[in-house]
Amino acid sequence: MKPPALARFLAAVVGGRDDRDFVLGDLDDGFQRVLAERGVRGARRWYWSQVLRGIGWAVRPDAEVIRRRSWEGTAGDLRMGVRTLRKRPIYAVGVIGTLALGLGSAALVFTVTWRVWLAPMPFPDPDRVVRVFETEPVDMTSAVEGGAEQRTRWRISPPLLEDMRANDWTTLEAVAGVSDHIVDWEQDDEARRVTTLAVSPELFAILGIVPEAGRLLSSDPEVPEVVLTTDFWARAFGRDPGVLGSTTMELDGAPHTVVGVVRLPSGYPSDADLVTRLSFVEEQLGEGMRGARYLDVVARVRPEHSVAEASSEAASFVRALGESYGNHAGWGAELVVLGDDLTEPFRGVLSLLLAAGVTFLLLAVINVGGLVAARRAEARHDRAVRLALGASRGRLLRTSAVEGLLVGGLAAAAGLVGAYWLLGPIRALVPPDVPRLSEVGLTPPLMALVLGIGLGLGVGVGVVGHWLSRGGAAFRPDDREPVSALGGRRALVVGQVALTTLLTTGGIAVLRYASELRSIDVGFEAEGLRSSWMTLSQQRFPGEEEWLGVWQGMLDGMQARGIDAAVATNPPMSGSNWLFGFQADDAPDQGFAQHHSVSEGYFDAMGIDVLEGRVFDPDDRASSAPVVVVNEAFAEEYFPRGDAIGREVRVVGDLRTVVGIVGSTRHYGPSAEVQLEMYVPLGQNPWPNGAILMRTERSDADAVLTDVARAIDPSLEATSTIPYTAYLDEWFAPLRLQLVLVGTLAFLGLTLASLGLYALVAYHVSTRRREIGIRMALGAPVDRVLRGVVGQGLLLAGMGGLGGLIAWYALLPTTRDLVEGVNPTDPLVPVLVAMVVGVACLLATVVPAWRATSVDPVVTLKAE
Amino acid sequence: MGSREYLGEFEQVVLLALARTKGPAYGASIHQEILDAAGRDVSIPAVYVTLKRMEKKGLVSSEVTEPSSGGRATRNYRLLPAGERALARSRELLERLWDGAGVHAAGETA
Repeated sequence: MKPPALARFLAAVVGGRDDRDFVLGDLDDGFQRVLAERGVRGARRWYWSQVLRGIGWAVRPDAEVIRRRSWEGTAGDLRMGVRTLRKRPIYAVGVIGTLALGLGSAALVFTVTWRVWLAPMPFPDPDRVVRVFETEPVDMTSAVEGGAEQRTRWRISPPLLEDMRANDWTTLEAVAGVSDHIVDWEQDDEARRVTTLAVSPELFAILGIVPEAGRLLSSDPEVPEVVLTTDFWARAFGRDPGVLGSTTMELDGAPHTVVGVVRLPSGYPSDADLVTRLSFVEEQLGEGMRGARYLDVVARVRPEHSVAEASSEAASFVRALGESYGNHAGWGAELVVLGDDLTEPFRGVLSLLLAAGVTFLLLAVINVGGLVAARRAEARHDRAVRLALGASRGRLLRTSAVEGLLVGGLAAAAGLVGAYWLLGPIRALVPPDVPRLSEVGLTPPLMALVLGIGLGLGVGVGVVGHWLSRGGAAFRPDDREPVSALGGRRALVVGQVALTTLLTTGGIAVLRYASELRSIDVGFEAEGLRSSWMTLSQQRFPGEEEWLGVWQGMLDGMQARGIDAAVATNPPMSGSNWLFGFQADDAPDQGFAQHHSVSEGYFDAMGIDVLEGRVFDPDDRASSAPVVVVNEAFAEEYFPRGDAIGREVRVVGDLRTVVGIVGSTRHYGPSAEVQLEMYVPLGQNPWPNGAILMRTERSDADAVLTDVARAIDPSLEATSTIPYTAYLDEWFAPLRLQLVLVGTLAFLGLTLASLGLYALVAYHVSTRRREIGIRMALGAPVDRVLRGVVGQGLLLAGMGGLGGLIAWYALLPTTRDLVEGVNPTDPLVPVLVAMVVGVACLLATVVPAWRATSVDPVVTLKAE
Repeated sequence: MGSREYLGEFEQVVLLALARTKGPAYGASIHQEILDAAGRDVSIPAVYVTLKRMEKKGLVSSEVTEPSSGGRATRNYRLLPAGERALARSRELLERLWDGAGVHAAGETA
């Protein structure tokens, strides 16, 4: 009877080479003994139990041995690693710097992408919070894209919002409007301007906002209440809980009771000091206001329904309204997940960025691998010496790994410091329109992640380096690189140069697109124009007559102080949209156009060309014949025979005669379609809010504005003027983000590619040191040696540049989707870029080339 | 090296058995000694693994004998002074801990 074979095999393994025979012999003896006592079964069971317990014991680590090994060994290896790196500072800086570049850019890219795009919005179930849009009739400006019908999305008008809030929805829990204002807070005869969000009370539930103190706004629209935001509570009231419920704030002349404090979620809605109830007076809910689509409206979808279901319910709701109101005829609605809508403009560039970040990290690792391998000859020497001195192979491997750990740790730290320094400029360069960019930062988990990756990569690189330098204890003086490995490294450098060319070309293409857009004629002159907004309080200025009085008083007062100004309700690119319905006299259907109510000086102040007929004069008032001025696009579409002047257009119920045609403006920005526009005289159609526009360089413009306003009514105040170019800047925000990021990446890529090329050429030179030495000793001219070295670099850089160009053209269809406005018909850009990249890479070969020529033949040969 | 460490329980058992064994101490005899003296049927491979580890720490030494007539070769172990010191230290530690622990060993009566 024999012991079980498998158990016997395992016992042999546990015993190891030294004790195998003894263990097996002793176990066999024991087996026979037990067999005699307990029979076959008992003996087998005994044998198995012996072996299994032995395995259990063998795999249990011996704590003391491990501790001693790791501590004493690692400390020694660490000292050794520091010594190695200090001995070769250029190598150390190259390796650590390259890895740091890769890690730093990856960290940067990741944190920006995470915060701006991927991190869930900070409210409960963010996927059910949607933004509500009203969508244009199909036959208006919508285009069919990829087979799917794309309807232009609009915001929501006050009457539609109130209809939606009052509706009993199957798919929606609640609907709320949001609108931001600046209001005056009067306190002890002093007025302070505070930013205020006027919201429907349902907003709190939709966004999951709970009061930090006190309570939220009540649902009673008659009670004026205000909720403070946490920052404002601290700033204005020192977090005094006593203000809640008892304090009254005079806001735009109306007393509001402070009822609570909330913390607004970051990213949405915009930051503010106060939150008040969004409510409307009778006139704002009239039928004509159904075209004033300016409110941001959000809703929460019920958990048992999908966003698509809710979207179609909202669409049928608006369609049904279209039967009663011309302003909704043919319109629909669409719900879009709020988080998606906020990040949508940035997603293309961010995904590009993420891919680039990962690629860079990869390239950095490969480059470091190249640098490590370049030290191979020396490492072999070292290794041979240490093996000769009795170091074990395992020990050598550990030394390499610890050196890698050191490199990885230092690189991660350097990368994080670099990323930290870059964050500031990036935040400054990119306007605050990019959602949540202000929150982007290096959080402890991210830093831990980067450190972890750094250490891991370091060890990996160390181990690979060790593996590369293996190959026997014998030290062979003529240690040449195998051709295949060198070829691989060359391909790598070519690939990097190609990638850099690609990125830089993309960056320049975006830059050129941006400058082209800037040169597009928007139809008005933003430079030198300033604007300020005024909202007239309903209590002090209840009707049209009072509104007109204020506007006229403002214009007259400003003029008396030497500033020509104009008033307008809907200036272009300011974010306001007044798409009103109209009916041209012989057109069967209602059309839609941007409605502007403007004072006489508007066209002059804005620099809008008058093409035909006249614009407004002081005689166009309520008592005179109703008139309208249309833009060129309007005239071409509705009066194509050039007979617009004298024709009639019905605008918000009034039949108006066309008296003039003006140039078209780009209401939505340089790249958007030109809109139909119609202008009516302010004197015939005043509104309680509007922009004051002035073309002035005077530094006291704000003071004059305030003085004039106060002179009319002490409660009146205008927002401080901002240059109109700020609206353009805002519009360019996503484009600038692309520019900054692509630019940074291109720069990093250039650095990495140069480093890669440097490592390769340096290595090449170091292996040919002897040959160069001999050649120079034999009298070879310096320039010939130099040419050989530089020539190699030039060849690689050239191939890379060419590859990048080919890739650029191959990838054009894709990049055009990702990066807005890439222009394929611009051959000069990529060629220029390829040259710049090539030269930069070539520079990287200069140092090793110079070193090659400064080789002293005697020293070199002696070293051999 | 390692002299500052205390022995694990199984290490103590194996070392004590080694010290008690009359005649040549090798895996099987140490196993038998533990079985006889303590009634524990420990794993023979585990004994070898432990002995090897203690040899590395310098607590025991070993030599392989020539096969005796009709028998097999064995690896015989010897307790080194460092091993004796380690045993003494471990005992001391336990005694100090037992002192005043207020627990009574099995079989003792209060």
